[in-house]
Amino acid sequence: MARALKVLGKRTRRLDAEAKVTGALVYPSDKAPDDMLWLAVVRSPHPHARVLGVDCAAAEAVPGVVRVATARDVPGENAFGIAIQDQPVLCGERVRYQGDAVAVVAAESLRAARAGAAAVRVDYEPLEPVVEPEAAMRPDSPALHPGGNILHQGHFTKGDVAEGFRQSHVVVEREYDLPMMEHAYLETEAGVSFYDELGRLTVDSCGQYVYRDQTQIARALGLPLERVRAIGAHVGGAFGGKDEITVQIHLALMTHLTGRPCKLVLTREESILFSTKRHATRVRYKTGCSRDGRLLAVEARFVADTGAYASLGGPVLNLMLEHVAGPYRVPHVKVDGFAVYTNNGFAGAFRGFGCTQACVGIESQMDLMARAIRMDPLAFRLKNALQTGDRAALDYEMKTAVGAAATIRSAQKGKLWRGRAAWRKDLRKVPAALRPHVKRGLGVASQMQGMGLGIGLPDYCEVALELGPAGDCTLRASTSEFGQGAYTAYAAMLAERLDVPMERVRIVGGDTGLAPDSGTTTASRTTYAVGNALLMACERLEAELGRLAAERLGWPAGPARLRAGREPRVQGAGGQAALAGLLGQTPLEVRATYHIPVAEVELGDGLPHLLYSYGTHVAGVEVDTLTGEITVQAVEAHLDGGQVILRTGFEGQSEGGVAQGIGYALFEAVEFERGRCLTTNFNTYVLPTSLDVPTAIRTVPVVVREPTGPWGAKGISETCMVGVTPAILNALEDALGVRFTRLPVRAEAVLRALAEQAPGGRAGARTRRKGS
Amino acid sequence: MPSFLSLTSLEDVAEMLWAEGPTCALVAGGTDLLVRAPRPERTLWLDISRCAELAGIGLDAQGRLRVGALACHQEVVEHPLVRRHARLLGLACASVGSLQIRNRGTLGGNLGNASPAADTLPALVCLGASVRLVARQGAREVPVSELYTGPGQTVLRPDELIESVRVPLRRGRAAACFKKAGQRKGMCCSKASVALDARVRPGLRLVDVRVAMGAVAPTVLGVPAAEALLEGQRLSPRLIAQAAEACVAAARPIDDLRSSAGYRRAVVGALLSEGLLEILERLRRAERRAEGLRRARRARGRGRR
Repeated sequence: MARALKVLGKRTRRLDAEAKVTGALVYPSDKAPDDMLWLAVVRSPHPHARVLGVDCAAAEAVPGVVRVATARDVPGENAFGIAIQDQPVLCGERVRYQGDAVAVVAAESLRAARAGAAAVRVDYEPLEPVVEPEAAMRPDSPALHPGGNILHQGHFTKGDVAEGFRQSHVVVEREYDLPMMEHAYLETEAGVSFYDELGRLTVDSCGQYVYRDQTQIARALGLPLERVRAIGAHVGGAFGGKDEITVQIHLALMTHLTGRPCKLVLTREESILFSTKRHATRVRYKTGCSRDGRLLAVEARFVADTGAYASLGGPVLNLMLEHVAGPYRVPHVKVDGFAVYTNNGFAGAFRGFGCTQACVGIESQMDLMARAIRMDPLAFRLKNALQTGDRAALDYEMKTAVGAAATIRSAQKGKLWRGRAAWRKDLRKVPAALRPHVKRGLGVASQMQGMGLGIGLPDYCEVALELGPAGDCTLRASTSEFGQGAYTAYAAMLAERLDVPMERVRIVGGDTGLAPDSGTTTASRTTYAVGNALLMACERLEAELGRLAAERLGWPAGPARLRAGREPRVQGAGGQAALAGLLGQTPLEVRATYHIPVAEVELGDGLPHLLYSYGTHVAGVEVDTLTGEITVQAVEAHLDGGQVILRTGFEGQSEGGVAQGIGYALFEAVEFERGRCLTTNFNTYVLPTSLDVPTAIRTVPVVVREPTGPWGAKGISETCMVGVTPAILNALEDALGVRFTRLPVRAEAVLRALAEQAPGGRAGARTRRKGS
Repeated sequence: MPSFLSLTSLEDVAEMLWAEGPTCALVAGGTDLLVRAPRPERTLWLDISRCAELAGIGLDAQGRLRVGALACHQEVVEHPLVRRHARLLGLACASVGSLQIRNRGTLGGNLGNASPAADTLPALVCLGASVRLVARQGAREVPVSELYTGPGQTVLRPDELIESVRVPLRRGRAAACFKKAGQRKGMCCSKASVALDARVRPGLRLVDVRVAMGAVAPTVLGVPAAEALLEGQRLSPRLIAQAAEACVAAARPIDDLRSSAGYRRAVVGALLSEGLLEILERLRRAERRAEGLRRARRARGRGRR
């Protein structure tokens, strides 16, 4: 049996709790180097236009303005992008969305910088915007990029769907219309730039992967990598929206041109216009199952609006394809997907990363099929749940721990589902007079989410671990901390492994100058990857301690372990010795690099993953049928993250995921009219507040240990959100008998649907049942 | 950038408005002004938040409730005179924004901003409230129902400012409801709102019924047709449905990002229905309680004999 855990899985206090609560923690937008210049960016007001000329004379004459930069001033390659560098740092010929940058102004004050930006004259020739993805795919559409408007497409087949549908007792066909979603982090994109003490051009900002930022900055500025330093440790929220370059290159460019420190903080309007979003996606599903509830065929087509530039549009589409059938076994699959350029903003990474769209589709279909064959929705899911050794939708073997069935069983045993009959009728909190008009419903959704970057992309994680003579540990890992609690998780894992109290652990993160390359802070990978790397480092540390003890104290060869206490000691083959005595004044440093294991098969384009996290959500909604108002009253999250590292952090992630899942289901949509964004601030882009999120959120850890994970752990930062949305949609059908296929579902849509459902209204079912 | 001037006496403010009115933007709580800058010709931001004469809640010489223009929404919500005599106004103020907004935003600001979606307006119209306008040349009173000429438009002259709101006290048993439909449960503008105020008479009857709606027309809208239907009649689900229909028929909403005209029209009816159904439930409960008491008293009386 495994040793009892001392630290992991407990309600540990966050390392940064006090600094965050007191405001002592310094975020990128708080930083202000001496003698700095403020930047303001001139952005295109047009979704699509040719740039005929940029006249900076008036801007340069504005008092306080020090420098105005345009495309001509970009010394290196005037392009950036994580996967494909198709977005100009500053547009010189053409702008492709409202928000594209044309010039940057550096000035002595923010006011002067903004006045300067307003004085830059850009001569545009507006072009017809490309706004409809289906139309943009056709050869006669104007092309936004040299290769045409299809950024990426993917097609997979397994078995024969036609045969699958022939065998099916029930076939369900629906189309889902999913909106573009904004990350809405608390802190907008922000940062400062300066030359550090070693003369490196340094950008201290808000990225999710400092080493890639460094590469992108160096490429655009035409500098060797070692002349550029990127920092991004504590960031005010990201959710994937700061994975791509935001302010970094503009900052670096202006410090490069002026020699002075610079600061840039985007306004909320700028942030919403300019930054990447979740892909608006049209999703078509046709699925079939047998009379006894075996899933037989899944056919799907995704058309994802990737907006003006590539960013991670290709990989996001790939994850839609990979997760097309959810965590279910299905013999016949056909899936086609397209990521299409348009002038509707700009899409990229966002928590869920394509799984979100697939999950809304497949989980709605699962409910419709269960309903059609009169089977309990959880029993139906359990019957089809993937197991280790099964073949996945894209026809590869599931090799690692599969928690699908375990989370479904946990949901079946959960309070909400067991008490569902009573829950539906419980209207005690509704005034008696209104009870006849209020309906309650429960819905479920199950989900899997690939962890890490998949196959084909290098996915490694290097860390450095330093042990001081007083027994204090410093872990250096370049990942960022944007609220998820990663640094505290690292400290907890070190404390568990090394017998060092958590308060003696220091994390140095997010800095190419101080920490080795630990990879991206994305894809639910950080706890898993850094955890494994630090375990390797700990082993090396013990070997090193043993070697030192052999060398200095004459111990027999073999590793030596650390023993905590007021006077930390080492224990090994030669007995015990004081750590301080062994190390002297010199700290001991070791490094380790962990490579995230990948699948043995390669389907191309980074597919598939080897590791997945699983989750099943149960959501309870209440609908006022007079006003159409929807209230999410309860959510139960059964999340398989393997061994829980931080219990409070686990629950915190889950509760935040519930809030964001509610936002996607019921509130949020970035809306465009002919490429012009209509929802540029939080007065029109409506987020749920604490009053819209239930107090009754229960998070149940379902521990299916991942053999390759640190203590069997894997990430949950995406599974905690993705299933919430379809669970709500399924709960709405339970409450109202209406299937919503267009997000967000607002009160307007509820009243419209209820009116159509009323006698004489339009009938909407597209379910084919054999022999009926 | 506009310039900023803070004045502490009403006389000075009136003087400044007389001289510079068209270029002034008044600042009190700043909850509207700071999120949406005023028209560019308003180059002087005139801070009135320290004018003591504009503050406070109390009774005026005629025994009416006087709510100073600077009273913030939360102050109105919590004031005992409002709770006793103008409950509807308290309900409406309580639905504004969030606690932070209610602690900053003033009643005078909500009136002066003249948003068709302002939540206090339907309540004040139902209560028959007037606004006291002050200028160097003298003061005048305008009923809230006649204050507005369009979205963001009032009958205020550039030299006038809102000094206070005057609300005739309601005596006797009141029935009141304020209902709004928003984009979320807090921190939101109304897609549509309905206010109702009435006296309660025995037999589940309402008299002196006033109904007004917000956000479904260019200005706040009274609904005489609904009032006439309800006046003196025994409340019933059927009557409530008819009154709701009257609201739907009277609404003249628009489509915008916040909602659709169709929804706004439908939901004003639903909001009035919900408010009245709740009132009906309360009245029935009260009648049952009163009936129980009468019966108990009769029983005691028989016992004594």
